[in-house]
Amino acid sequence: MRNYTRLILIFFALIAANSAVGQDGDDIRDDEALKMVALEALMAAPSERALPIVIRVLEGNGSDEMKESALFILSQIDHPDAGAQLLNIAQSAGGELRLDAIRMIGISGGDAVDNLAAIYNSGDADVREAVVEAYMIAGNSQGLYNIAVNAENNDDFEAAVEMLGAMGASDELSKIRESAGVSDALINAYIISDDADALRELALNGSDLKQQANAIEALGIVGADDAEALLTQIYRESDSEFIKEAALDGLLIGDFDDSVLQLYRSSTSTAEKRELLQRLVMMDSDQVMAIIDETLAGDQ
Amino acid sequence: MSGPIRVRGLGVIVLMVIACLGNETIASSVLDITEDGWHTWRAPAIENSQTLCCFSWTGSGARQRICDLDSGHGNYSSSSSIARYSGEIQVYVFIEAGQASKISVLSPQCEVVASTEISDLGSVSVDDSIDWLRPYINAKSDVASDALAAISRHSGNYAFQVLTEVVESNANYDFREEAIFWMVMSETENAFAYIDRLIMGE
Repeated sequence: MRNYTRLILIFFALIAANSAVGQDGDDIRDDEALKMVALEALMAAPSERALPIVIRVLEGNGSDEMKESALFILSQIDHPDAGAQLLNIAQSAGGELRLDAIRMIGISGGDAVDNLAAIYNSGDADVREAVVEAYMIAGNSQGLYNIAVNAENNDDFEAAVEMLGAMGASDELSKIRESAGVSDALINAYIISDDADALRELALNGSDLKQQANAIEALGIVGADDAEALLTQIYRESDSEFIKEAALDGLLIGDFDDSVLQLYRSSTSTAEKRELLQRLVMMDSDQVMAIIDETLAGDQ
Repeated sequence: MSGPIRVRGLGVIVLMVIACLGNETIASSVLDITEDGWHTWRAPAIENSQTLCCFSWTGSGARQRICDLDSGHGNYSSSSSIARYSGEIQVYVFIEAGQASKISVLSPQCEVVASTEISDLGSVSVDDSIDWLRPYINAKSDVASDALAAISRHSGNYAFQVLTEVVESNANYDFREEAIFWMVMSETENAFAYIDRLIMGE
């Protein structure tokens, strides 16, 4: 009985201890959250008031979240010292803070953007990626174009070109096509920017079979109004098995099962019919049932 | 046997006091507002503070317009393009069944309209004005946020003290956040020193 009583006492003591820990934990979370609220409230303060506090946060020992928030506020402060401070961190800080500062330069969109090229050229892969994002955030397609045409490796080229696609920078992409030719990265950029016109042109251009096939498949991804008809036309008219395969892939990606069914019905080759039927099965098309019905009816 | 009974009795008294505090009558000796409808008073404002008026926002900036107190949109704001001022704030309260159901603070020069007559109570001290508004900072009040905003526009240390108390000890976390915001908006030395210490954990 005494043991039972002791157990009950221990049980209540544990509950009390847990609730005390929970209370402390809530307090700590509340304190951190209030610090963040106070920091973010500085966005409404005059710049000369907010700036010294924000700089103190960045130079202090606060959490990464606090510093990230401080960087954002710094990017929004309309004061020359704010831009200079942001640039200084982007140039000389370490780790994630530096990468955040680079992106914030893109958000601020001020004169500091002009310094991104130098930061890119002297930075490692993470820094270069952050600069590409900063240019995108700033809407600076010229900066990305410069990176693409001066890229020393394919990864950097791809990153810049695909980001140009995300920005829908068709002029810059055209210039890159003229200077560097058609590449996987360029076709990806056309997909990202939904540029069906550029892909249509490449899909009908037989000078580079590999890139033509990529463009044909990309048409299925972009799904332009005339993509289904064009892919069907390419399939019917091409002499290249490689291109025919790409057109079928495009029809599959675009989920154009009506056209695949038409191709199946018009085909006189058993091997081709088998392949087209396989595509319809892969597309999980209801047309497969129609074919089965027709076949069974034919058998009867 | 008598000991525990006395303690229990004391507990009941404490509970009664707490209950009375919960239903505190919103009145003071100076601002003894009993009639329903709109009432207004002026109190000393923060020096060189933002003009609080109603604005129409256009592409070319802010244009001051007449404030409709009944519109219920908390329809005041400030604009950096409008000249700052020193002097007084104009507090407007709408009383229904003895309680404020609307609170607005504006600059005295702002034109206002209301569906009913506005009873002008003249100028009052900062302490009287804040003491009247302060009880509305509670979770049961629909005008707690407006009361906080109004308090923050008063000059002197008392407004800062009230906001500090809310930040540090109010049970409602939202009010604590709002008090921080209004402290920053007050743009006083005290406020920024406090915000600095709060952020830096000092």
